[in-house]
Amino acid sequence: MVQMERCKLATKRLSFYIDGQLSDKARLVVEKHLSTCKYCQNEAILLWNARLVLKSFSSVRIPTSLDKKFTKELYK
Amino acid sequence: MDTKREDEILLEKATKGDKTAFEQFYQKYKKQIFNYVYRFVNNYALAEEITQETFINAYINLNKYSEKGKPLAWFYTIAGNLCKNAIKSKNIRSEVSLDAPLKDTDGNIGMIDVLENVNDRPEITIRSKELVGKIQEAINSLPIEHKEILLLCDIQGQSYQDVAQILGCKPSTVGSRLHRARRKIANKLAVLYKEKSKKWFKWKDVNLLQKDYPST
Repeated sequence: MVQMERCKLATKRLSFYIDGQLSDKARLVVEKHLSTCKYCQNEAILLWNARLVLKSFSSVRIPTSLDKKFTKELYK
Repeated sequence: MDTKREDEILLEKATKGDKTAFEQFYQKYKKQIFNYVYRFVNNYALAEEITQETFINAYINLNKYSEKGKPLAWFYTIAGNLCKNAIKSKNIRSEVSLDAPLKDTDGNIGMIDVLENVNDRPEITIRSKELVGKIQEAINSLPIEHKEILLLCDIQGQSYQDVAQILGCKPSTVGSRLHRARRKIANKLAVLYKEKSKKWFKWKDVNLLQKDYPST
């Protein structure tokens, strides 16, 4: 039961953890928990991968006509 | 001078009618705003229209701009609202084209997904246009609230603090919403990556992942 509650806590905090949003103290608690809890390890790795995939997502070139349209509208 | 202050000065000048200052601000952020809008509505021509509208609406309403937080956040808010309105009012068709380059309204080839490296780590770089299309489809399948938070935090790289300002909520809300959104898309991405035999990290690689761990 205690283990389940801890899992719930860590799951709630995992995105905060991988984004570096936790205090040192809270981060250590999560890291300690992660070192032994398989459930949270799986959750963390899933979220970490998702974050990496999205961060590596490409950007698109802006349309060349945008500047012209914007300045026309701004200076009219 | 920091970026925030520089931007504030540009907008202060613009409020007094200095259009050149506003144009400078536009030049600085047009790519960021366009990419946000494009990933949001997933339609190149509409993204161009909304980006222009974002900047022009902001210019017209500069007197309503509050100097709390980053000026750019205000532009993200306007852009996001316009995207949501467009999605609600129009039946936007998906435009993830894998064969033909998209053209802007002047007929110039405007968009081919540009490959980017993450921290020069080629093993996690998306090199396939097909994969980009599939990831975009996965993003599109999310509820707007989740899509918005993933675009802002993970794709645009905005901080919890800035996203909180953009969405008008607390940073802790950003974190929990982001967690739910990532959780929702993660399984889809895992299946996709396995199908394409792309690198999908396991717990034993955690030290490798911690290289990307942001400093607090």
